[in-house]
Amino acid sequence: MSTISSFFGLNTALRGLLAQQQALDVTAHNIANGATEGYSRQSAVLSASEAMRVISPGPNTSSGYLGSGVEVQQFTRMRDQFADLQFRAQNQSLGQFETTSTLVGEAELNLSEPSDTGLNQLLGKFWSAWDDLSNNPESPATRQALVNQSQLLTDRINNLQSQLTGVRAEAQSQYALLTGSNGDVAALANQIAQLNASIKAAVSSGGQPNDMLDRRDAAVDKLSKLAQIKVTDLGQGTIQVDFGDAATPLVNDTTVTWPQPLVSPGGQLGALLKLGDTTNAGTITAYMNDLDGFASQLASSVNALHPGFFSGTTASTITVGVTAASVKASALGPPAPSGANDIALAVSKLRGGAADNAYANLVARIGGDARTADQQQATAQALVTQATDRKQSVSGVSMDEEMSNMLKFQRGYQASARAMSTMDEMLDTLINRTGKVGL
Amino acid sequence: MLGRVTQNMTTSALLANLNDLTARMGKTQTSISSGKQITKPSDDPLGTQRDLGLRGALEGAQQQQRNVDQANGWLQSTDSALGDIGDVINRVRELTVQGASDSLGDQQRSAIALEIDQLIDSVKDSANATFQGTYVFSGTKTTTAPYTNLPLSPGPPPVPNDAYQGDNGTIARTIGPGISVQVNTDVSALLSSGPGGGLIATMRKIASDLRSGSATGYDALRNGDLKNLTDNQDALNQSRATVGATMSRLDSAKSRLQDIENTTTKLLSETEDTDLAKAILDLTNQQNVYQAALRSGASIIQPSLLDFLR
Repeated sequence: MSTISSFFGLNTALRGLLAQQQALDVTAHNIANGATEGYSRQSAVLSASEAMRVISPGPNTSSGYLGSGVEVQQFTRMRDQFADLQFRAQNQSLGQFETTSTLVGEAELNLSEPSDTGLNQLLGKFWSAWDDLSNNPESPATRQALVNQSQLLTDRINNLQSQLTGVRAEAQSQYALLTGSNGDVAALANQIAQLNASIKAAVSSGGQPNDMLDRRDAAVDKLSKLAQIKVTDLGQGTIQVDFGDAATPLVNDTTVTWPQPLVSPGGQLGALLKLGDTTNAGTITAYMNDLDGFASQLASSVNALHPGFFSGTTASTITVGVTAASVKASALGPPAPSGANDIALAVSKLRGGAADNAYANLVARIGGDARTADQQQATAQALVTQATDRKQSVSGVSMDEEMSNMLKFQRGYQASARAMSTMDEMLDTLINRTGKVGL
Repeated sequence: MLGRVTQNMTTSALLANLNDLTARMGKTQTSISSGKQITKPSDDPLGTQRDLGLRGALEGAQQQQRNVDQANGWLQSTDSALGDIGDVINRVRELTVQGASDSLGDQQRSAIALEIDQLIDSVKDSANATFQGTYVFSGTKTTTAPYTNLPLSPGPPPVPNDAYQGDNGTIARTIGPGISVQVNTDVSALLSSGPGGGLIATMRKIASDLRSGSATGYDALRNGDLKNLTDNQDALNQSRATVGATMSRLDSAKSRLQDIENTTTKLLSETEDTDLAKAILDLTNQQNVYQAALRSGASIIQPSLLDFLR
């Protein structure tokens, strides 16, 4: 047989007050972090506290459970793990295509085509200079004009090649910067490892370190743009992060293994590796090879008719090998008859030939790549936005919701206080007004 | 379908859409203000490739028109020089017929012979015709006069130098993609070889026959010399016909090149120029959408439950 204490109700009301107050605190925390990056909204999970078994006295003994109020079971973090996975996969593509689009776009701008100043126009003027020479082979002025026009052409080819080399070097230095000892990868990996340690400590003492989890997730999200990542839960709140195609996990519990060689890591680093690759598989290197092919085509086709007109057969080394005095309009002689123009005629017929096509193909190739990268970036951006929306839909703070929660908890608090004062009045009646007969 | 929609989502979606619209308006604006719908290769890679080819073809057509003009000038010089020589032949024929007449005395004949000597110099002068400072009848030795009026030895009597100083090289001009045409005429085949050893030799023979003072000489004037002169004139007319044919070929080449230039310019414009009507319509549409987005954004972002709780 048991009875319940007169003060039991006071405790029930107190629990109500405390729980509502904590829920209000959580609401205030949510509102305060409404715009915090990577923040997941939290909620206080309320549940009825353990009930008390009560046996009521009397002839018909019966028993029941009397509720003892409410308690805050835990503060949960609203997070959808699958949305995270989806977001990180799309973020990886975005990083890759964004970087490709930027750098290929830079290579494309260097072409400055179509315009009146691009290589194509210079090439056309170069052929015209040969036409002029064939019209006036006697004139020293046309020879000088041809040499000048040829120098403009070779300068532009040299210049374009060094600009492409510059784009490739930029990709390499960006990669070095990101993967260096003070780079983003190292910084994020260290942050994750430290948070692993703190979270582990908090979890083992029974806490739920929501905000640290948020910060770790934000760091992992940032890492996911740099390369493909795989996150494995190691238990006790810690995680292992596999990064790109690195042999050893980047972060394992509290251990960071970096730097490591990467081959095809995907993400921003993957794009930079491909753009900066100096072998034939490299994107920019392939353009440079095409430009070399164009330069060699130009030099060999002109030199076949006018030996030694160009010296050097690559885009970076091609120069004009003749002076106005040594330009030959004719293969006759020496000395060639003043009006003979067989070489000039033959060279001018190369207009619109293999060299022109080689260059136009290069421009179309870079243009096509830039367009593809732009479109891929736009697609990846849309997918990332979608994934972010899905994440936000679960984790984001909604002010409407917080406001209504605030009202709910405020009312709950007020009502609990009313319950308490009711108990108080009851006890007042019992203690101060009972048994006063005759006093 | 998303369950919850938060203020942040609405804001960032609105912002992303506004950015997208601004970018699209910027692109349309660029294409209107620059007049080009292709400003970089990635705008239209295939179009750019075609564009580059067309620009090359345009430059080629313009240059080849200049080549044709130059060739035309060359041929006009040639034609007028040959015309002058034809006039001289006619005059020589008159003089020969006149000199062959039995009624003339020796003195009159030697006067005619003197005029013929002068006419030989005039033929050489015509053959030394130039175009833009180059000799058109010297083969490829365009800086050397084909004939000289300086005698081999001063005499008296002076021994004239009738040798051809040029060569038999050909000179050609490019008048179309991969097409070239010979512009020079081999004048030595008219003047220094052929019937009677060429026109100059025929004229020298006529002069010496006139001076011969013998009946055989006068007979030669009537028979062999006039015949040779006629043959020389035929050869000259043949050359002039060739020159005329080449000139009409140049004319048609020129009009073809003009056609190519016009077509190429039109194609180039279709490839790279902005369709202004369409672009402006696009811009107006984009502006409308942009303003609507701003307005709806302003009314969506503003209120929250916060505004209504007291």
